[in-house]
Amino acid sequence: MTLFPRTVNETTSRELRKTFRNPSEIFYPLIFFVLVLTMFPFAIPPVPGLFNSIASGILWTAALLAISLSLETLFKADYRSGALEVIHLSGADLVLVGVGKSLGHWIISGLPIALLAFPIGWALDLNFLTLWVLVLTLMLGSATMSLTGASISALTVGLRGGGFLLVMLTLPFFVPLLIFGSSAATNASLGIVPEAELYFLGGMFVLSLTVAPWATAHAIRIRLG
Amino acid sequence: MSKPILEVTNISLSRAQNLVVRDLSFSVSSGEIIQLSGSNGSGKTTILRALAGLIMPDNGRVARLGEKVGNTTPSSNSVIYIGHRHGLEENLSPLENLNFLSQVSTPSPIRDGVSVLGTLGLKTSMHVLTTRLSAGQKQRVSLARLLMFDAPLWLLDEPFTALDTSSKKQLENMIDAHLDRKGAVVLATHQTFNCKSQVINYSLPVIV
Repeated sequence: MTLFPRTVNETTSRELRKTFRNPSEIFYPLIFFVLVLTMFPFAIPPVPGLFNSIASGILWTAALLAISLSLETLFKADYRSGALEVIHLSGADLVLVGVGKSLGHWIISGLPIALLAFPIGWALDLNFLTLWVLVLTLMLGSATMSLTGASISALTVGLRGGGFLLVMLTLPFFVPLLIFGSSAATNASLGIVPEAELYFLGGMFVLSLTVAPWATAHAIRIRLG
Repeated sequence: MSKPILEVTNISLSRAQNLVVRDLSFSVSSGEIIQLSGSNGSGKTTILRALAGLIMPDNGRVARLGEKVGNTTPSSNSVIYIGHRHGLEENLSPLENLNFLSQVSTPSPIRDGVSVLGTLGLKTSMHVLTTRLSAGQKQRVSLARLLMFDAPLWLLDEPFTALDTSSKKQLENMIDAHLDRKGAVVLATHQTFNCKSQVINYSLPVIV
């Protein structure tokens, strides 16, 4: 017995297999994430405690941009090669394909970024509680981004200027995640339990899991038509 | 008398908001093969995509086995569409590509990927990454879907492209066998090919 339906398992393992054979897709978002975080300290004045107070916000912003950039590739190769057409005509459940694609994207981009935030946050002198809250919020937020972003990625795939359109369309959905995610980490650093923010992020994840795969399936049909 | 496998009634089709096909009607019954011919831009690919259910006609009706075709519910158990693009993920092997399809498709395949690729002479390259295959080999992997799944209607868009003489002959035999099994074929090709059954030719005009 497996945790997910067969179509989700197969789609996710296909995504992971093809990405690990072309690992630049994994490394670009991670390198972007690390570069932004290593460059930022050079750009702010050396006021004691300043960087520490804004570090979680910077980590969240860098994560959001890195994940947004990686969304463009989610359907691109399958659309160009005609594989998306073949999958659609095979009678596969496109909703489950959407879940599998999102899960694969999260494992490749969101999860490593969330895990990488721990040592980077530690190097930026964030306390232990803040680090845990940061990783937890990034995990929840990035999973929501993968689910929501997949539907917009499917809708914009193959369009001229689709990459720009994708970023413009996803940002309004991602900004609330950024606000609540960074606020949770900031509150944790002040010793306040970020209960409300975590509930909000959890709710957003459940909502996107409930709605986004259907939107992805519909977007695939629209783009193939 | 049995229902036609495919009925096309007065369809008009547009590509990028330009009308390419006007009031086309035909039907295909068991054992029949139709060749769509015409110069570039006459709408052969657009028609095949409409018959597959990938695009909706502006007017008219497409029905497969008596059921109206809509692009939201492709009746995958009644059609196999081989398009211009090979539909393969380049970073997976041919076998991985076919195995994925066999796992997610509805209905299930009638043959497994290993045996189909063996039949098509791709036994030695079934584990090689698709990106390393030649255009002809990729086309053969794409054609493997014809043997893997059981569907009465085959829609083939330039299926002989990049195939060598023996592979072309093998595809001709596959078409003959499919027609013998009471299947039907609609294909668009500029190439000449041999077929045991009589080929009904539809010459499409270019609409200016």
